[in-house]
Parts: sequence; C-alpha cells; structure tokens
Amino acid sequence: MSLEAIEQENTHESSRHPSEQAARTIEQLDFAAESFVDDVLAELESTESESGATPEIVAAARDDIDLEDSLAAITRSVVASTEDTKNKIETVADAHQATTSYAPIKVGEHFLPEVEVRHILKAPSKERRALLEQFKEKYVYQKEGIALLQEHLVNTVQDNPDLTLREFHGKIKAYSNIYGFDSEYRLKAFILATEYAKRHRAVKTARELFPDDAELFRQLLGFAPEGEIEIHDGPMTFYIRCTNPHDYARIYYNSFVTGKEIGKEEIQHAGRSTGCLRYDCRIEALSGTIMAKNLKGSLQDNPIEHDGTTRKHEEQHAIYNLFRTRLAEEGALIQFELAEDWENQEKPLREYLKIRRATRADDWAKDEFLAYLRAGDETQGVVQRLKVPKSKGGTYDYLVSDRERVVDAFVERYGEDIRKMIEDAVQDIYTHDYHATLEAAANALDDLRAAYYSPDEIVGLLTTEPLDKWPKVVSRLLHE
Amino acid sequence: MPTTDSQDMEMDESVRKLYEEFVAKMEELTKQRRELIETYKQALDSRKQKRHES
Repeated sequence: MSLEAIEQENTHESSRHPSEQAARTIEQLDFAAESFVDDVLAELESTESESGATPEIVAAARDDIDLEDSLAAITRSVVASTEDTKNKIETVADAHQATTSYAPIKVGEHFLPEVEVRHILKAPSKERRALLEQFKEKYVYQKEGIALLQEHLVNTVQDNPDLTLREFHGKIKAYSNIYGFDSEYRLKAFILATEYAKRHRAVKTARELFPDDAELFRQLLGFAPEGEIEIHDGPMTFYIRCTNPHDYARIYYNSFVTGKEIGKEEIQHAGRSTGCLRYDCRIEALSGTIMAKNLKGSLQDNPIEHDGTTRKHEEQHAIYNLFRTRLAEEGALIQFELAEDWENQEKPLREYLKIRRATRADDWAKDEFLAYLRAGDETQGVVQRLKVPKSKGGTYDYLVSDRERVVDAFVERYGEDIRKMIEDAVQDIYTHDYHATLEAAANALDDLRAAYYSPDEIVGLLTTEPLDKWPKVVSRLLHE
Repeated sequence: MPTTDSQDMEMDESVRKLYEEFVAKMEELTKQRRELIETYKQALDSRKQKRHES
C-alpha cells in the first residue's frame, strides 16, 4: 500500500459514523443531568458551611422552605427534559438510519450472539434457516462495528492523546448504541480504555523523569546506545530511531531480556528489517511501548519527516495490536473471574495464557522459522534452539520474564491458594503446549518443503498466519 | 443504500437543535436552582437571627 493510500485511508478512518453525533449527544445529556445533581449538592454544602448554622438550624430552615420537595421538583424537571430530548434524538437517529442506510441492528438494540444462537437452536427446524440468515447479517454488522470502534479509538488517541476516561466511555457507548454491543463488551472496552490511560501516563511520566534521549534509552533497555539515537513520544509508544546496527540488533533480539549475544549474523538478520515493536522493557509499566526504527546512515541524513506516514501507520498498528490483544486477554480474564470453580476456570485461564504467549513468543518463533528457512537451515534445529530455557543457556527463551510475572499477578489478585494451579497452567502453556506448537509448526514447514514450495512462497503463505494455525493452513493447502 | 452527506448534515442539524433546546431548558432549571439556594440562604439567616434574638 502506498504512503498516499495509507494517508487517505487514515483520513477516511477518522471520519465519524453518521449516527455517532446523536449517540454522543445523548451521552452529553446524561453528563449534564448528573452534573446538575452534583452541583446542587455542592452548593447546598457550601451554603450550610458558610452560614455556620448548627444542625438544628439547618433542619429548621430546610423545613421552612420545603427544601427537599423543591429540590425533587427541579430534579424531576431535569430528568424529564433529559429523557424527552433523548427520545427525540433517538427518533431522529432511527428515522435517519431507516431512510439512509440499511442496518440489521437498530439503534439501541442489544445483539448478543451467544443468546441468539441459543434461540435459533430452540426454534422449530423450519424457522431455523431464516433465523440463521438474520443472525449472520447482524453478526457480521456487529463485527464490523467492533473493528470500526477500534479504528476510531486508535485514530482518536493519535489526535488527542489526553482523552479522558469519560470521553473514552462516551465513544464506546456511542458505538454500542449503533452496533448493539452488550454490557460485557462495553465493560471490556472500558477496561481497555483504562489500560490505555495507564500506558499513556507511564509514557509521559518516563519522559518527564528522563528528558534526555540517551538516558531514557538506557532506562528502557538497560544499555547505553553506542550510536546516535533519538526518541519520539507517541500516545503510548516510544519511537526509537537507531543509527547503529548493533544498537538496533540488541533491541530487535530483546537481548536485555534474553541475554542473547549479538554477533555478525544477528546484526545482519536484524538489519533486514526496517522497524520492530518490542514487548519487553525494563520498566514494567512501559511493556509493549517500544518501537524501534532501523536507519541506514546518520540522523542528519534521515530527518523524522522522512518517516512521515509510515511512522504514523506503524504507531497505529502498534496501538491497534495492543488494543486487540488486551481486549482478547480481558475477555478471557472476565470469563475466568465469572467461573465458579476450577473446572470452569481452567479453559479461560489457558486461553488467556495462550493469548499472552502469542505476542511474547509465538510471533518471535515465527520470525525465527521464516528467517532460518530463507537461510536453508533445518527446521528441527530451529525448534531445538527455541526450546532451550534461559537457565540452560538458551538465548531464545522469550517467555522467561513473563512466567513469574503472570504467576505473581494472579497470586496478588486472587490469593496464595491459587499459586499451584497457575504455576501448573503456566508450565503447561508456556512449556509443553509451546513446544508442541513449535514442533507442529516445524512439521508443517517440512511438509511444504517436501511439496516443493520455495522458501519465498512459504514465507508469503505463512507470514501473516499465527504460528499455531500453521498446521491447519498447510494441511488445507496440501489437501485441497 | 449509502448515506449521503446532505442527509447526514440534516440529521446533525436536527440533533444540534434538540441539544440547544435542552441547554436552554437546563439554563432555566439552573436559574430555579440558584433561586432555591438563595431562598435557603435567607431561611438559614432568618433562623439564625431568630435564635440570636431569643
């Protein structure tokens, strides 16, 4: 995609949904009504405290003027005005929707896929087909809405990084109204907003503490840069522009976590990429905020303007990925909390760990497989290297720092009783299941090679597929 | 059927008008609220005065 096309796409993505104005206005009405009550309470308190009146005098004066009744009457008028205006706006929005576009989900309607499926299964068999068609239409529409909300949030925080939680919530509610999100999704999206706010604050705080780029670099990555670098702050990312291939390779290989020695081969391998997003960081609150750019030549030869829309696009991608991953993680965590016993908790816990593992190890392993495939290495050799834990000298143990982090976080939140259960699940997903995934992926690669696919073809086919989906993708390819 | 710009603008305009009407009503209610607080202040003063006199 050309830079111009990306720019145009971004402009298009930033434009709001036609019904969003209506939904946002409804949110403002609620806010105004709540503020009215807050204000009147504050005014009453200050009036009483300024007067210095005793509780008896306050009680008598309130009775004298029927304060509570008068207050209730005014508040009733506020509620009536708010409701009346909301209804009118909804009517306008519905009419607009009906005349301008066909939307399978009406404004304000809730569409819960799981509930709908249960209804369909209970329906008489001759009605099922029609219900299923209707369901599909709504389902696709809602999925589009989720994608649009994510895009909208990503674009909005780029334009206004200091977006408040209330503003975030307003946007989530606005989209919920249009696309029928249920309260669980709204809450998950809100948790995500708090995650964003936390990361944005962490980025700002780190920058305030370390205004000097080289010092900030050292704090983030644990080593002083050898070459010239500069760091640009994004809404929730640090964009590090490196001119020294060794510096870049150390970031590329997360060497401050894995302890991997960076030699000529690694520098050459890392040097083929133009940029990378790294999850680990020495400051826990800043995990997932580091984006590095590999520059050929000095900073003077490569002014930031040259990165232009590519940088914006990469940053959007980074935020979008974090949102998507966090949303999936939160979904699994909520399921975990909702479950009443271990039998029902195990599945969401495993799912949660798999999602964490995907960004921290699977994606990395995928890069390694494809890189070594190009160099003509044996896939089983790659599997063996990736499997060696750091404690036994392995330099590809991407999950080393996350094992303890996950166990500690769960124990802190749910108590010591849960430790053994979490440790076992982590051991299973981060070791056994991970190793099985690596082996299955390697076998899938070998199958493609055996079927005479060229390395370039294999890279093209698998580069966008998650590592654990490789066997299925390959099997489909070879048996079609 | 795609939404046209003029139809979007028309809806935005209707929503804006409704919001303005709402703001006007809220201003009126805020005025009533302030009057009530003022009356309350006077009632407190009056009660304090009575207590002082007795």
